Amino acid sequence: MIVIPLIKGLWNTLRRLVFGPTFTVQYPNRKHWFLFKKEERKEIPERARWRIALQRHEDGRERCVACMLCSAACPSEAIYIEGAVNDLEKPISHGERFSRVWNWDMGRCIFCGFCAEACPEEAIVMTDDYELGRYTRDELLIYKADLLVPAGTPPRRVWLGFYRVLPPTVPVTKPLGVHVRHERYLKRENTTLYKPFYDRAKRVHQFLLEKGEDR
Amino acid sequence: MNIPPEVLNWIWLVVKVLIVLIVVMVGFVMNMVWAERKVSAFIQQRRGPNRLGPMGLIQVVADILKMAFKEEVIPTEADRLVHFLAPSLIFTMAITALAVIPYDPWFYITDVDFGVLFVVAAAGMGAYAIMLAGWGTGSKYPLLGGTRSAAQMISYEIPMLLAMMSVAVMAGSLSLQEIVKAQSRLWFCLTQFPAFLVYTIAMFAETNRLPFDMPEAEAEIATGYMAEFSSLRWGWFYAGEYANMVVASFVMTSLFLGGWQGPFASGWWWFLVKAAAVLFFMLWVRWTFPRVRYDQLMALGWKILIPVAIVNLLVTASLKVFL
Repeated sequence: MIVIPLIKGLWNTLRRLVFGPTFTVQYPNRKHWFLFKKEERKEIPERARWRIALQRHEDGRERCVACMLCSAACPSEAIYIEGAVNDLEKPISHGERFSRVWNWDMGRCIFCGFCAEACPEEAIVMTDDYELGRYTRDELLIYKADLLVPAGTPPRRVWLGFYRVLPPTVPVTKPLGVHVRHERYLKRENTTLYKPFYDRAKRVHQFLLEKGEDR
Repeated sequence: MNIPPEVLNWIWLVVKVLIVLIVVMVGFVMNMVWAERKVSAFIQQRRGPNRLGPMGLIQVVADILKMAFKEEVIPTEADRLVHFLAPSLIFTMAITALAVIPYDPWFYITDVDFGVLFVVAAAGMGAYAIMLAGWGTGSKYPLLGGTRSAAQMISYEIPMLLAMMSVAVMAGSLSLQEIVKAQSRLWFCLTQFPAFLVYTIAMFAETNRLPFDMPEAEAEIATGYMAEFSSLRWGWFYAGEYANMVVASFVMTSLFLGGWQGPFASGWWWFLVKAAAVLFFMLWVRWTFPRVRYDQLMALGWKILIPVAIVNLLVTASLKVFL
């Protein structure tokens, strides 16, 4: 009988009409209003590499010490940094120097994550903020004020093929000496830093120890 | 003020016509476009239009505006008069049938003694519109669509009319209001079940809906008779299709589903609810079944529906006479 498959087909479509889930994600957020379904964002994986952010220590000071490693590592020269020496009374970062200018050219950035990888202070992290469209090219140049996270933001871990533990933050009253910083750096557990950077840090440490310079 | 009752009658008639037109045009035809898109979306587990207005209801207005601003293309081979007349004729004939539909015991435009025949005649004129559209564009695919439409209309109006006749025999009248009143105890979809089935199937063929949308089969003849129409003329065909569906559902409601009579609180609201249910069924079927082959369509019409309808009519008439 032909009727039974017809009824089966009708039931099949009715089932999907009434109970069937819709899979389309309603991405651009809109206000909840009468009869509107609340629209949602897509779940972003934790290891997503989108807009970069500059982190802070727990005491609110900047992690960036203007070492320029990120700028050097950047394949597309998207990062421009001008460093300056910290004021001892009111230090901005934990190191000797801090970044006076920190520009990120989003138009050049290829979101490879090498800067976050290279950063010895875990200052640069890549976030899941993927809404990066701008109306003009000028707006693609992002300045430091827009990259710095607000004080008190919980630290975001760096994920890039492996997992690294954030370095311990030592509350200090004055900027640490270079070799102290390197020492701390070398003592760090679970370090899987890029080998040349590690070797260079080790050499600098040896050199400073031989020179006997301490502050 | 001493207005003669004839004038008052005329004014009331015009008001009734306006009410029916507005309700059918805005309430049914426009929302049917929306409902079709929404139902198809839900059946296919999509979301459908949801950007414009609550649940995308204003999408139809945007569609109409878009159509109005589109360029009007008339083929050089076209018979310009026919090309101009066809889109208006299909919609006009669809809404003509609304004149005899009983919406309520007190609210109807006219109640003529040949209401069923009037509805069938209007639907037949709608077929002429499609044939004219196919002929008037002077193009091959529309012509194929038009001829298909002619053959389909002839094949399916016979069983449809036979099914209506058996209902009329049951009610003892051709007036739709009388037929509705005759269903006060039991609806004709139960007592006249074969006629109900025949009418349901013929209804899809009559309104050119899937699974019987031969005249506009997109995959075979590139939307058939509508192929050479653009802008608002195409829009009239689009609206005419839905107006035909609305009329078919109204007729079905009156003939088989008890019209304005409900289990309780009879009134026009029952009529609208039933018509909406029938319309939903039409959408549901459209998005469930694929198009049948042309010879299958003809075989179904001539070899199954017409014999079933004739036998049903004979049995009904015999029972009516001898019991």
